[in-house]
Amino acid sequence: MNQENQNQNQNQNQNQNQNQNQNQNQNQNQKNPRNSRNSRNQRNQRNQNQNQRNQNQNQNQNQNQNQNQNQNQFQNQNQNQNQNQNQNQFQNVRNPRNSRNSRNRRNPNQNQRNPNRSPNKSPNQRNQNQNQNQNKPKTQKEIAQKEFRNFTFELHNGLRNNDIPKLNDLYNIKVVELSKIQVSLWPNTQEILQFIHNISQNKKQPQETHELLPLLYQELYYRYIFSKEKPSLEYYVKSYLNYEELFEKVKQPQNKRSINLPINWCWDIIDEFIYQFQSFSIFTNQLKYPRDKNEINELTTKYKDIWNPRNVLKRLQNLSQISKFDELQNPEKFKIENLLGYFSMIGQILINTQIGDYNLALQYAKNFNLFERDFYTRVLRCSMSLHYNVGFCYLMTNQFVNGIKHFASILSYFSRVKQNDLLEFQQEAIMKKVDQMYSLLAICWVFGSDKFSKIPDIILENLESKHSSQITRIKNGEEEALIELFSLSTPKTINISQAQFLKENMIKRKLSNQIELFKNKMRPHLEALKLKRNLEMYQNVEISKLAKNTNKNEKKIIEELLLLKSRILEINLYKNKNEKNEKNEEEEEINKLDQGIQFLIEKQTVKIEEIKNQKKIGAYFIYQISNLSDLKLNQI
Amino acid sequence: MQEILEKLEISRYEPEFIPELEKVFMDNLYNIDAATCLLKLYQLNPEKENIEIVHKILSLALPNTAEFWLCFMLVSAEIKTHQSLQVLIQINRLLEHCQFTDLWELMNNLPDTKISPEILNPKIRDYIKSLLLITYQSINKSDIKQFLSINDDELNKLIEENNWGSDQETIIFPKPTTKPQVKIDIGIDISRISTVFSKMD
Repeated sequence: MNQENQNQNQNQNQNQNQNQNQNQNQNQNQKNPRNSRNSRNQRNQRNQNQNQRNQNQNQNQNQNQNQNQNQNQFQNQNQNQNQNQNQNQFQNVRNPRNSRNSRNRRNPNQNQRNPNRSPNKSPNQRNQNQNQNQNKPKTQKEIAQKEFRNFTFELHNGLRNNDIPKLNDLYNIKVVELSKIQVSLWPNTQEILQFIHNISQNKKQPQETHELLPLLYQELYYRYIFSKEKPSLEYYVKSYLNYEELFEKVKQPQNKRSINLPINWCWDIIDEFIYQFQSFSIFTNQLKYPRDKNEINELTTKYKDIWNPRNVLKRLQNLSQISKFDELQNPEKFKIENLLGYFSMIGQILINTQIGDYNLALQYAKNFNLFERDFYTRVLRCSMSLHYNVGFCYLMTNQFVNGIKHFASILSYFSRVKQNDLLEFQQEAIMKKVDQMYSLLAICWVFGSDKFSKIPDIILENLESKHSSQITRIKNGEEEALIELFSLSTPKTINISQAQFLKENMIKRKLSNQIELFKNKMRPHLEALKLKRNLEMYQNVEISKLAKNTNKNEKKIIEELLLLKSRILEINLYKNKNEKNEKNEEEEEINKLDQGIQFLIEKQTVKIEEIKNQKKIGAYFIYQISNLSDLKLNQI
Repeated sequence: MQEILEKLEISRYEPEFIPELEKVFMDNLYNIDAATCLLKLYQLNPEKENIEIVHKILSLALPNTAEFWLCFMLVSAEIKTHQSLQVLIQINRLLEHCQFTDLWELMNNLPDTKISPEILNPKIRDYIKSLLLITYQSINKSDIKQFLSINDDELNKLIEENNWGSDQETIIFPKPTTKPQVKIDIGIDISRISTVFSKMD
């Protein structure tokens, strides 16, 4: 009981100190000739913030954050602050929320020096002063504080009551607004917890904050930092530890009561997790010896586990295994562990494409229905990322026509759908991704087939307007155009090789240059393109004539012909793996197109078959008629 | 093999699986999933990296040019430039480019004794044979001998086994069965027609 009172007192002290600073700033506007004290107070405010941050860092490195511990640290922090602020003479502050009487009752020691307070003034006059102070223009810090106070309170309530529509609004609208506030004005976790403490204390409601709330707030905070600044090693460490704790607690909730989070938020957590992992690997690549000696030392000793690929990969796999997908059918039951697990399966696809394991990524992708509405289509960014990565995997495994199919479907979906609920940097990211997909589509288009019938016209038009010059250059055999398209659109690779951390003097990692590999891989296909164009012109042609047309000797022609045919064997390899019993027309068409030009060599001539696409006009009409009549019926 | 694959589905990144996976490849069995998984584990645990096994994996993957490339992507950067792997890369390149005569020249004079030609040559021959089957309708005997690097006796054996027609100079392969039949398909479902007519008033 005593401790509780003490807590309350000290909470109030901190509140009062904050309000003190606010009052002082307001007093500045009243032309108080107290310059020295004001600047001292500003310095105090800065020191206060710094101290809070330092202490926050220390606290974050402790992995047990029970609420009791929080409060204990609270007390320590308050005591430190009180010691630091012995220069502050304003210990009695007008807290507009508490009445004067109750304040006096709780803090008997308070009636010391308060030059602001003249004992001869009547309460009414004092209240008038208060009102005057309140009507003065508020500082940015105050506005930020107020916004965050509201935000945390609503979040706290939303989590407690599992109020999904409210959480949706909160995340889609409020967070967007909050992200416009400068990062230095964002309160730290202690202040957030304290906000809830105060508000719920005033309303005399139970104060139990959900254990995930501070972690979720920190996740937002670090996400914001990563988007706006170039983070230092410290931030990487803190953010990683935060994620570890968050996922650990999701896995084993202490209260055995799970919360519901909006779907967007869950996807963003996973997306950001992967993004920070990628950015960390780029960061470590750029460390140079001996310039960044300290950081390298820390990485090899203290921070060995931070963003360790093994842990990251394991973590994603764990998450995907704890979730129960069946429960996702029922919207009431969108618990956080199920959502995170579902999205972490998609996350595994993303991460495996970035590592280079395309086979595995495609295997995971089979769990999702990629061309119809599925659960993930509720989040646009998720669909975009998923299709981009799956299409890229198809490109790298030489299944070009499948790649065309994926890119075309997601690009047409994107052109139809509007997105409003995106933060600024996310909108830019999506537009960039769309451009990247067009480039990859161009590559698939050249090497696969330009006869694929399911591409909507608008996509074709966009493709032509953006990349027609490069496509013609590639068809002529120019390698640079291919590299241009590829290097812009490839996802950033993550090198998970751990070897460099075991060597003492940090030799710069030899990055396997993905572009080089791609070049070597595509070179034979590129050279065979010219031959392909020649073949398309004939039905029967002598090998000698082909040799003349392409300025190569006959032996080379035969080799290239064999190369074109070798694709069929490759495709059969993948076909056997798919094991789909239903042979729908689309698959057959894709297989045929993938096999390329059908030809046979007989003695010295090449006999070529044509692939004719029969336009199914009848079926098209029937489909449209039934759609129209459905529309009519629905209107009536 | 199945057991290890099932275990991998549960948790792929345990370093304890490395010995089991290595054993699979020492027995000359090959599976693309196991191969990619082992190579990733090697990247994550470089102290356990065994270049011989990597060599083995890549040599077993050679007949499938697509899978060779997939495995090669996952080999860690330090080993990629290792000398013993260079021969394999060269073999793969020749296979990809279909330069079969050069390929057999290399295979018959292998500088590297780690690659066992007894295991590899038949697989490569199978691959080339299937490729020739889908490319040619009739091929000169001299050509096929060059491509497969076989002598007359072996060629005659092949002809007998597969029932190919043969002339003095040429072999005639059977016509491919996958020739697409001309289907007159206007693509109209009967059920659809009925719905359309029922909706018309």
